[in-house]
Amino acid sequence: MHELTVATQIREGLEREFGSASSADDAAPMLLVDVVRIRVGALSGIVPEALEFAWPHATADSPLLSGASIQIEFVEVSVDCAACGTPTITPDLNRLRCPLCGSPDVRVDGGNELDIVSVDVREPHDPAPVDP
Amino acid sequence: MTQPVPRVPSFLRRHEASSATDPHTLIGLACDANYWVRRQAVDNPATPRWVIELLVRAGSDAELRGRSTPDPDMSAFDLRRLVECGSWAQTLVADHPNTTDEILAALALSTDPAVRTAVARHGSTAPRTLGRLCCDTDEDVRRAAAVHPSCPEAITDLLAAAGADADLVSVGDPAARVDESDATQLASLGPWGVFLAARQPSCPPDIVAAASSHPDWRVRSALFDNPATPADLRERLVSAAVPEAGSIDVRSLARPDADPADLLALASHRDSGVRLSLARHVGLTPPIAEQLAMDRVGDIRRTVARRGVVEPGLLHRLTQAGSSPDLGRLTEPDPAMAADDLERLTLAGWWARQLAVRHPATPPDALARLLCDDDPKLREWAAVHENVPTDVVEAIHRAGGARDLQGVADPDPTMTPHELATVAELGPWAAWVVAWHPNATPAQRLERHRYSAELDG
Repeated sequence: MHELTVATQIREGLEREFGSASSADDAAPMLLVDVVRIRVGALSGIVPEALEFAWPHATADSPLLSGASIQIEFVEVSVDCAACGTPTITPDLNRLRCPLCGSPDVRVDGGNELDIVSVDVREPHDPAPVDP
Repeated sequence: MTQPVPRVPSFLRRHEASSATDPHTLIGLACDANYWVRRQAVDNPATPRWVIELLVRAGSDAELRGRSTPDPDMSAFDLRRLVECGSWAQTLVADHPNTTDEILAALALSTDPAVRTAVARHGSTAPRTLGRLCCDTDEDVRRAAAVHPSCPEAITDLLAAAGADADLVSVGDPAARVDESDATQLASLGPWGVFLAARQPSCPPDIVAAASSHPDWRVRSALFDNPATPADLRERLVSAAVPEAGSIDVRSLARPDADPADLLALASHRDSGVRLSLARHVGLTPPIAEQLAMDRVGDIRRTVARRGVVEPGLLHRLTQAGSSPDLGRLTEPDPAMAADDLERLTLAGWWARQLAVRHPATPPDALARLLCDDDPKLREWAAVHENVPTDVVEAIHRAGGARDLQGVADPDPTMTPHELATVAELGPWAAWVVAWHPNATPAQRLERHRYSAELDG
C-alpha cells in the first residue's frame, strides 16, 4: 500500500530523529508524540484518507508514535502561467494547463508537497494535551 | 502582507539550512513550514539564537519540532517581529493568546490557509477581519470564521441571504436572491463573496466582469448559476473553463434549458469543475443527482445533497453506511446495516463503494468485487477487510496481482488457463492482471490495451 509505505517512512524518520531510546526495542520511551502534522499536495499522489487509514497500522507497535494522531493539510495544485501571467488553482491534475488561457506553459507553484510540518512531543510523565 | 512562497524543493532547503552562514537566510529556514528544514536550521550554529528564543516563547518547542506551551508574557512587539520570518512562525503567532487584532489582520492575508484558519479561530480577531475570512477561498477558513463569537451577524445574515449554508462551506439555497447593493457588498468581502454575488441576477456588470476573469475557476463557474448571464458570456466561460473538453460536449452546462440527457453525460466528466457546476445547474434531475451524490469530490456531493433532489432511499443507505448526512465526510456507520444494502453500494458510485469497503458488515462476495475495483485504493482497502475472501486475494496474487493490488508482479507460472479464466471473471482489473500472465491466452492478452483505454476514457 503506497500510503502505508509513506506512513511507515514517516514513522521510521521520526524514530531515527528521536533516537533509539524511543524505538520499539525499548520498553520505556523517553518521549511520546501526540500530533504529527503533514502537508500533502494534490500532485504528491497521496490520498489523505488513505494516509489516515494507514497511520494507525504503521504506528501501532511504536512506543514513540502509537498514541499519535496525524493531521493532514491538503494543498491544491496552483500554477503560474507564463503566457498570461496569472497565478491560478487548477482542478485538473491530468492536464496541467492554465485554466484561464489554456496555455500548457505553466510552472507548478504548489501541490507537490509531502512535508512533515510539525511534531508535538512530550515526556511520558507529562499529561496528554486536551483537545480544545 | 506578502509571504515568500517556498519555490525551492524542501531537500534543497534542508541542505541550505545545514550549510548556510547568512543569518537572514537562516532566520527564514528556522521558520520554514517543513519540519526537517527547521531541524537543520536549529542545529546550525550560525542561526541567530534570538529567532529560536522568540519561536520558543511563541509556542514552539526548543528543537523547533512542534508545539509547546507559549510564554503568556510575550509582548505584541516580539510577536510582530516573527510575522515576517516564515510560515511556521506565522502559525505560532496566529495561535498565541497575546497576538493583537492588528497582527491578526495582517496574518489574515497570508497565502497559507493554515495560518488564516488559525486567525479565524483566534479570540482577538476583529469582526472586520472575520467578515473577510467568511469569504475566504478556503472552506476550512470560512467554517472557522462562521462559528467565531465575534463574527459579525450582519455578514453571516448577508451570506445566508445570498444562499450560503450555515457553516459557509457550500451553497445551501440555490434560489436565494439579494439586491444589487448586497451583491456589491458581498463581492467586496473576498473571493467567496464574489462567487455568491456572481450567482445573483442583480449582480452589477463590473462584478460580472471581475468574476468572468477571476483566476479561480470556482468563482468563474458561479456565472453559470446566474439566470441573467448572457448566452455569449456563458459560451465563452465554457471554453475558457475547460480548454480541452474531451469527448463530452460541455456547452450544455451553459444552457439553463439544456437537454437532461446531455447533462447526465456531464456527470461523468473528468473535470471536477464541470461536475461541480452541474451539481448547481438549474436542470438537475434525480438520475444526475444520484450519480453526483456518489462523486469523488466532497464539495460536489455536498452541493447536490443540499439541492434536495437525491432519492431518499439512496441517501438513507449512504448515511447508514457511514456518510455524514450532507455527504461530505465519513462518520460512524450503522453496524446493523443489511448485507443486501451494502451489496448494492458496491455496485454504485465511488462514494458508495468507499463506504462499503470500510463497513464492518460488508459480505465477502461484495468484497471480492471490490478487490477488482478500478480504484486502486479501494482494492487495497478491500484486501485488508476482515471479511475479505482470502482465497480470492491469493488467486489474484498468483495470477500476477502485486501485493498492494496496485499493479502486476511476478505471477505463479504454474497457473492453468482455467484458473486464469476464473480470476479474469472477477472483474475488468483482474482480467487486466491475467492479461500479463505468461500462460494467458491471446484473447486474454487483449485486455492489456482494452482496460487501459477504458480507464483513459
